[in-house]
Amino acid sequence: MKSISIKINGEPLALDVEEHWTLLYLLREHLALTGTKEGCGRGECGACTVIVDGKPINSCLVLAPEVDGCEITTIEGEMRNGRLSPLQEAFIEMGAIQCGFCTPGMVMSARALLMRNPDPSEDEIVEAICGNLCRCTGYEPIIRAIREAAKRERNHER
Amino acid sequence: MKDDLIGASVARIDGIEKVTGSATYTADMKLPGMLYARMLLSPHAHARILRIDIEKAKQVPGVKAILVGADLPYRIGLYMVDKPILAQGKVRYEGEPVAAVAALSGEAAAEAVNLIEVDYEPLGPVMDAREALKADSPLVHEDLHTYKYVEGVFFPVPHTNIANHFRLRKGDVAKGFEESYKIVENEFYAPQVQHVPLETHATIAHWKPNGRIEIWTSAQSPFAVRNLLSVALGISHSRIRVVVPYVGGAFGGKAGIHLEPLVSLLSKHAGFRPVKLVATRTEEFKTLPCRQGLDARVKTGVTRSGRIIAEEIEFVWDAGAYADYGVNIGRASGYSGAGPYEIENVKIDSYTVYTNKPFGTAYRGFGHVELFWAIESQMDAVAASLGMDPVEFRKKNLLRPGSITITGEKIVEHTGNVRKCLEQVAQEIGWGKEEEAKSGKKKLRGKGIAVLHKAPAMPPNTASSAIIKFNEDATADVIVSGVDYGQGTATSLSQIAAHALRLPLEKIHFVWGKDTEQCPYDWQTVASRLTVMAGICILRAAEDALNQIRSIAAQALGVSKDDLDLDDGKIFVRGDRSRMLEYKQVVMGYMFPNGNSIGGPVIGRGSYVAEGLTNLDPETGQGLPALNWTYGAHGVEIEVDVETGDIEIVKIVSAFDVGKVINEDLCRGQVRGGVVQGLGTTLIEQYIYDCKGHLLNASLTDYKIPTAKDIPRQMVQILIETPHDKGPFGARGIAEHPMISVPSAVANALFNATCVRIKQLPLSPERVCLALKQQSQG
Amino acid sequence: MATFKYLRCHSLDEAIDLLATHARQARILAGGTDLLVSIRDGLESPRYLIDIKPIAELHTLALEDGLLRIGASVTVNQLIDFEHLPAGMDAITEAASCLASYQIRNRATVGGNICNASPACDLGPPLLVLGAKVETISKRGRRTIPIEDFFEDVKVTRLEPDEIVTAILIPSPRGGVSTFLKRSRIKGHDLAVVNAAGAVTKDGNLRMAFGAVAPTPILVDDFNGARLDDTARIVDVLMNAISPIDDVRASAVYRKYMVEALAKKILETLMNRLQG
Repeated sequence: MKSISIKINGEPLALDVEEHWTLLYLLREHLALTGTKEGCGRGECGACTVIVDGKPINSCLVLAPEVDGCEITTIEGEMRNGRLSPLQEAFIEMGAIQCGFCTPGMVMSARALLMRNPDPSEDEIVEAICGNLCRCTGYEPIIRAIREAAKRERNHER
Repeated sequence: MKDDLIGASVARIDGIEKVTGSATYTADMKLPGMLYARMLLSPHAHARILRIDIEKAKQVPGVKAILVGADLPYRIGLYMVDKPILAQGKVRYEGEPVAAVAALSGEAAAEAVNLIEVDYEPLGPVMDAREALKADSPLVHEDLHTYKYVEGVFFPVPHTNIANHFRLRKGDVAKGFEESYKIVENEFYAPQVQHVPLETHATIAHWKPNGRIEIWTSAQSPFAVRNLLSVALGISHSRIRVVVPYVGGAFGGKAGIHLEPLVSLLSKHAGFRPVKLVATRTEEFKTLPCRQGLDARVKTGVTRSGRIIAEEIEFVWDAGAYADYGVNIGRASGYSGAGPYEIENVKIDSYTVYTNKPFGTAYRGFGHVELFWAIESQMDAVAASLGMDPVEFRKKNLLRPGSITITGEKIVEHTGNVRKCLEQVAQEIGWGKEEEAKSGKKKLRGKGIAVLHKAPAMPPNTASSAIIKFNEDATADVIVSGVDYGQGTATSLSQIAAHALRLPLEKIHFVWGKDTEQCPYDWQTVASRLTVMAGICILRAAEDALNQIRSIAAQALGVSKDDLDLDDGKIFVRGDRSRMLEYKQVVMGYMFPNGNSIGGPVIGRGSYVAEGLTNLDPETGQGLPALNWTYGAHGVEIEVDVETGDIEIVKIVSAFDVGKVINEDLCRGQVRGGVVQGLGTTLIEQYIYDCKGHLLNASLTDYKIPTAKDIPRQMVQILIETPHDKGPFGARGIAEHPMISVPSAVANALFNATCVRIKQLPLSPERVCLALKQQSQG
Repeated sequence: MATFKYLRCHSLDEAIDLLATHARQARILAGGTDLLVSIRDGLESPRYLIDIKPIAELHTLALEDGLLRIGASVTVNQLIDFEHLPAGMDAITEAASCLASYQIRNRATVGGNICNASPACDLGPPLLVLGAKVETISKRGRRTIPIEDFFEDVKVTRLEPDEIVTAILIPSPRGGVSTFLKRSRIKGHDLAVVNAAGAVTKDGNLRMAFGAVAPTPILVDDFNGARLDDTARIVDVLMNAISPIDDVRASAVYRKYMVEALAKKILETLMNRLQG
């Protein structure tokens, strides 16, 4: 066991973790944050994407003790004040969701993109979500949703 | 208001739950006292099990149950009852479950699995379906003659590897070929591929001390799981409850029954504690089913003017180790195997053949992606041999009102319009106009076209039902058992319900979790049949509910039922809209001012069983197998890099005669997603084995599916509406069809660009490059 | 996942002490994107993972006296985003940009990519053509290994069991140019079927390197005096240098064609860059 302190979706938390736990396992099995999904366990599908210290990562390839001291955002942290974010709204409106299993990871990759680049080009969007597999939508509506959300969030900030 | 609802692009009703991560999938659930299961998989494709020793495994702390095949004398299957729950006596594919453990943690279960000792005597694996047909081939199922199956519908050949032999005979092919101006013969091959839903199969089962079984599972069809489990274990349907929460993609791979029996029995043997099993991605590839491979020989005879007058087709389906579902793919591909063409003389033999590979099941298109790979490639090859334009050649032969299909069905106006699909696609893709490759001199441009059809493949007595019950505030709960695993059916069915009940959409509550204990029967969510069949049931249930509302309101208002109009949740007396009641005054029963009450809670029910379908003649395949046909066409423009073999999809246009669009965005979404999934089959995906039958690419590292970088530059959807006479508002199914004929359209474009005809999928850069090199070297 | 002990190191001394103590039972954990997959697959089962990311000096990414120093814990994305990259090092950023996915690149380190020593590692060829050196440390001291001597076999390097990579050093090309290309089965996130890098020094010396066509990434720097535009002769030399095999990703035959195709494109780019 190792003791770690993290900030998860804005809340500080100190806890003990087994050394071989992945961050994904910690989130799903011990913090009841099941929005983050496991699709492959080897960094190929992106369903487990969360944001650690501002960067999207595959939580299946990070050990729980490695995130000691880190700030973690999961899909459960995307709503603000009980309201959908513009990104979430755009995903719904643009048909960027079908089965929904890739959606949390996809939204996290998109969120991290908009954090580092509020006005991404289509190529930049594609690059940002290339590590997130979706078997249902054909990606096109997801790309559109992210572009639309970027626009809305930029306008909102002004 | 309500009339606008049918066809409107309403946002999906499950969007908020999915985009916030609060949608609960089976793997997200935990029950009190729950154990975790792991499976021991066969390392051999074909081997006799000589000994299994579980003594060491039992010693692992936390282990509560260990099961091996000998503990489970059951066989399971939808159409052909051929699947053991755990391998019995021998293993038939690498990855077949041999033993399973339930323990306090997944780690303990995994440790125990590693300590189970199994001695195998390897047998020669049957790796090729054509080889498997030979008389001297080893048998995958020695006891085939003892298996139960749906008799009169399927025709296994005892003491061979043939799980089903479907025959279709129309006219006289020998005579047709004699009269032909040209005969073109080709063989096409499609390998096994995988559905790759993002969510792997997951099941939680709780066998209770009182003998009841409760199951939560990522399945397409709660009632199919219940029925197959009931039949296999000999337990009454009423003692089994199957619940399907959110499902993370299915595509056919979660139809029928999969992990549920094993997990249920683990629960029983683990002291009646609930047990959870979530397949790893490796297990999803190796253990759970894939799509069958196909080897198709097609021989076509045409007249000088381009009429097809004879066609002989042999489909050899590589079913893998089990064919419980696969036999029906062989059958369905048989009865629609010549495509949407009118051909006088047709002979089709479709064999479903056992091999020692992971077994096949339904996969978006149910054999039609593969059969149209052959048929629509062949159509272009025949056109080329005649020097005819492929679009013109097809037009000469397409089904039209008055045509008789190969099973003897007469086509009428409302069957749908494949010609229109083809014409609109040809126009939108700019058929006949040459395009210059813009991206450099080493690239070639080409265009290709292909048509398709498919009807729901299902038993002739397939049924659905729906219940609509009103709440106190006159909102309505709509309950069906069809599962929305992403298609959007729940949203379009809600639209149908709102329209039919004359209520705004926000007053409809579509009940999400599917529970055999609380939801009315539905056969399976497969075959693009749900919008149509559940849609009809909802219309009937709504009519039933409205009749009850009318009866109560008529008494309350003192008028005849026939003098009432219903609109926007209100009941009006015709001609005097001041005399009205609101639904909420009626749906729990109406109370007169003096307290006397009439009626009672309104519950509408609707049932539908497919009508007019028949079993097919065992010798000739004649009969009526199809509730409805959805027709479509794709036109594609590609750019081929002659050095690397890369195919870039510049534009793909897809048209479908959907009868009536219920939700335009969702409909387009189905097309887009299906097209990209079809491109996976076309360009990338395949199971790769070594000579001993080991699957070499059982991970997403080496089994690639399209990413955001791999989609076409442009995708266009054309939705055509020739109303169907049975479907709700004339609608037909559309979920599977977009994937069908994508491979053949691309192969035809490749031929158009390079004059090279590739007859084997996928059209990977390597295959294309090597074919082009071979061509240039003579 | 198999159990192991996670050891977090804050100094190099601590790390080499631990490694010396546990030697063959321990693995260095940097990004973990290869190691954790190997452990999950049961291909390795180390008893100790020594996390070197907390060691500050391993995060150095800087230009020092014309030498680019990439600390062992520098992630692939950090390298891509590095603003002070000397001219002529395009090969390394081009390779980094097509390594795996954005999420993976946020964890995967440059050091880890070469220590994993996959024959298809994307950073092998650019480091080879750019003449990189690998700096290491153990209780026995520090040493520098030329990258062309670093790879020994499939997934095997010449690192001693008690030795840690501290940095990768790339000399400034000083007027030279370089480029990288990769062929995969799909356009997105995939391992290389063949990857290739080329560099030309200011005085015209050509170096080319290829991955996934031999047990290790290979460097070819002797073209018998062939000129840059003498593609045929260069390709001849390359064909003799490579020894591709058939595997699940591609056949040897296709790999040969791709070496030729990539080599041609690389030579074209190099000539353009020299002129530009």
